[in-house]
Amino acid sequence: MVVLKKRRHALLGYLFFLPFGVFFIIFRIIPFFESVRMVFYKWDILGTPKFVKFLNFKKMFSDPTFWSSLAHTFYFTLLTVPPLVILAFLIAVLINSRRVRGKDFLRTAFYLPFTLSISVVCLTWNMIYNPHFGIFAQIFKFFGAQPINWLGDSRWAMPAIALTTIWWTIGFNIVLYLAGLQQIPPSYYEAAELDGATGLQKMFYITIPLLKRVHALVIVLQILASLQIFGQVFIMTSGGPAGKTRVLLLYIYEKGFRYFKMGYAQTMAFFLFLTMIVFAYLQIRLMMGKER
Amino acid sequence: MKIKTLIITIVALGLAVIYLVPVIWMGLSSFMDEKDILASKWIPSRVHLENYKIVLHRAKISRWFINSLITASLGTLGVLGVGIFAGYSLGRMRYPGRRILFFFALSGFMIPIQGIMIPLYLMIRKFGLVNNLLGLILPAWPSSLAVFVLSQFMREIPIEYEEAARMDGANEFQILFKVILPMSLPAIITVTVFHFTAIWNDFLWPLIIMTSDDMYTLPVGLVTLAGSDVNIRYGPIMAANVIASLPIIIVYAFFQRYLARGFIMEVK
Repeated sequence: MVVLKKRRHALLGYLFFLPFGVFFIIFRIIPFFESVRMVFYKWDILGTPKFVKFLNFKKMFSDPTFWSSLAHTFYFTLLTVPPLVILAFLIAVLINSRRVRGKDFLRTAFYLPFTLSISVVCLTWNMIYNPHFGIFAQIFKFFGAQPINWLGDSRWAMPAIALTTIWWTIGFNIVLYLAGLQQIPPSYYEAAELDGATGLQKMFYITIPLLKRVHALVIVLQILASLQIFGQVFIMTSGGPAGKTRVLLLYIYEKGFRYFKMGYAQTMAFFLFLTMIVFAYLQIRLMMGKER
Repeated sequence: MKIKTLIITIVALGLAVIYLVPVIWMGLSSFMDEKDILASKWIPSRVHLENYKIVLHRAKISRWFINSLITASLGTLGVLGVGIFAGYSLGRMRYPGRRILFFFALSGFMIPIQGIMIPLYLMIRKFGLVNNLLGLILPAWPSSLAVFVLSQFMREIPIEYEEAARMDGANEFQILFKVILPMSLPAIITVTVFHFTAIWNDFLWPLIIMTSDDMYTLPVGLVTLAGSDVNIRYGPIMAANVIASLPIIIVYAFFQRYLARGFIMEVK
């Protein structure tokens, strides 16, 4: 009787998992194995795929556009991750401070941009960066300076895209930090105050160390997000000026879906996947926490 | 002490207002004619509703809106549908191989969509789902994040509730739907808001599989609109932006306090 019940219970357990499992296998696992297989093929969308061994890799490693796209992706990651982590932390501390009123408004204000669609954000910032009537042009003119054509200048285009991205996505990190801050027991601070700790000491000896896991999670999630930069560049500069903002995912998109070099594009996508996998693994470890 | 509170509050509010300038500017520009915009005006010299008329008239914005709404709704419903059962199975049931299935489900975190988008596209093409909303909806369903958040949340619910229901003769389905599900509402809301926003705002995947402008979702439609018609510039585009943003802002306004809770729960 008990055995039968247990067996029924187990069967139901598998059954409940099944729908997810089926969709997961079809739309994740099979494409994943396909994605590994494809890198060994010359695969134009129409003709029959041809097995070419490591030719795609050879081609990739000798393709200067691949290397420059990769470099642009890393440059973007470098420009965005530190501010998106540090500023998010500082703003979260500010919002969480006992001395601040209007917390709901503040949280909403900093989170609002994150709810906007990437197209809305980029089209709006295209106007903000407009060298004739944009907001920065107005500020420059006010001080009598020559406005800069941000998106048309090869030195400024990527930092401009980075700034837009920071503005757009920082709210998510702030919310993660706020949730972490709220879990620090107030008694820690009260005890420190009794010992005469200053604000800075409380920050460095209580707040920052106790948020170790939140820092790690935010950094890892942010690196993953930044390595996948695509839409902002696609919409704001299409990779220009002179290819200076062409990032890896944009190059993959161009090769795969404009020139239909599926095998070659997939080889680069596989390379991108390899750069991300370490961080993806860390993400799981961090989210799992105590579960082993 | 009071003065310090006042100063910090003023600084914080000031920062927040500066932060919102782009959104405010977007809203104001949507009511301006081209002359005002080119003259760097901040207050419309007269409220110019034509931008909205032009966009609603000439662009297929209502069509894109409906496409986005259907995709995000059915996508999220599917995520919840398969995710709740899997989360319950992994979070609350005991059977051999459960841990292996748990790690299997989480392996989705290791497979970013960008890494598999090309084979996934070829598969969708084989299924005949290119230029079809189902091609956006179905691949969204197996969400490792949803399964993770739901199973972790359900795991924390004390066993006593379940045992009491079992004493009363409840079966597994009744326990799931009458006991566990109502108590998991915060996690369900987190998953709903997160996935609805993610699918609503997704850009790359609809850009890849949608080939006719009837099937675009809002984000893709907006960008092609801005790139296609020289007469639809600044003002109308900003009006389109406002139209596209309102639903998400409303969804967020309702659910904002739940948003991070489920996601961050584990980060203790």
